[in-house]
Amino acid sequence: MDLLFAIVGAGSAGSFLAIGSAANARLKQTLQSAIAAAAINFLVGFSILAILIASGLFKSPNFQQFATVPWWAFLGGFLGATFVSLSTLTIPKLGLTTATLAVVCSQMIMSLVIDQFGWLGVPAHPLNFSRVFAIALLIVAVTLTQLDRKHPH
Amino acid sequence: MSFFTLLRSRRFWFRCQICLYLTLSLLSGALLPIQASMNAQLARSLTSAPMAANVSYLVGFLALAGLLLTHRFEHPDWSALSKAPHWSLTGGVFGAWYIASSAYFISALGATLTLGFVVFGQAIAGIVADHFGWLGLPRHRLTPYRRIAIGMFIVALFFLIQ
Repeated sequence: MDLLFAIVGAGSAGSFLAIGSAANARLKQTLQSAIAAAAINFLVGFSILAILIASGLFKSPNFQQFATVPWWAFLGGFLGATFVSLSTLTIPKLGLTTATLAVVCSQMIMSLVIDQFGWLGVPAHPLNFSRVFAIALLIVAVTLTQLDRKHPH
Repeated sequence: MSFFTLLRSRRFWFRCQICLYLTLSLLSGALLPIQASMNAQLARSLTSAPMAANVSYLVGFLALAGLLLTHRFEHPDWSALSKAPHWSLTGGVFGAWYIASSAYFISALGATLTLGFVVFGQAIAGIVADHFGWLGLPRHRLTPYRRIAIGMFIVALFFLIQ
């Protein structure tokens, strides 16, 4: 695949993710409820995905398989809902950069833990030095974005 | 400075508040890989990544709607909805684009490289929006500290995709 296409495609997914959470934080300000803002976010996302699936753009899902799905695999949505609600609270206080980097940091640490122990049906991958080093660098980077913070007037 | 002067200073409490929100942010980020693993299992079972994302969004929406119906949380001001800027309603569209395109690129590029590009896109969007104060965010200028942070970030990405 053309590398430029990949960078633009996957990079835009990331920047859209950041823009989406900022949009949601703004919606929370208007509605004055983190939960209501997250609910609208999920309803819109659900509708868009439902339209995309109905349009036949993706290969059609296997609906007979619903019964065989382990029950815990359905719980991901709860965690997503908690994440979106919390991010509407933290983004206005921390700024988009710091909030994003902090999330990325703990995301990496947790995925390292899941990989290490092979939890949740993920094949186990032992720790490797370069990932630990990368996470340490990210933590320092998050701290740096906070050091120059202006004090309240 | 004595302990009591420290407790009385606004600066100290401001720092405390920032640390609290930072902790909250870190905790919420730890939920994401757990969610991603659950979604991956769902996608394997249903043999469709977009369908798994859709189920995940539906479950999340139902959980939030249930919480709202308990009336135990702050009451949303629904009348203000018409006054909300239109772009602020589109957060879910961006999220859906992320889910759909990352499913596509993970199969083409592999999970680590995709994650690397996604994270880089997130950081760039965050820094640009903060710098100009776009999207209704408080303005945080691109300071030398932030430039060093971006540099470290790129180095970290390099190590991640090793």
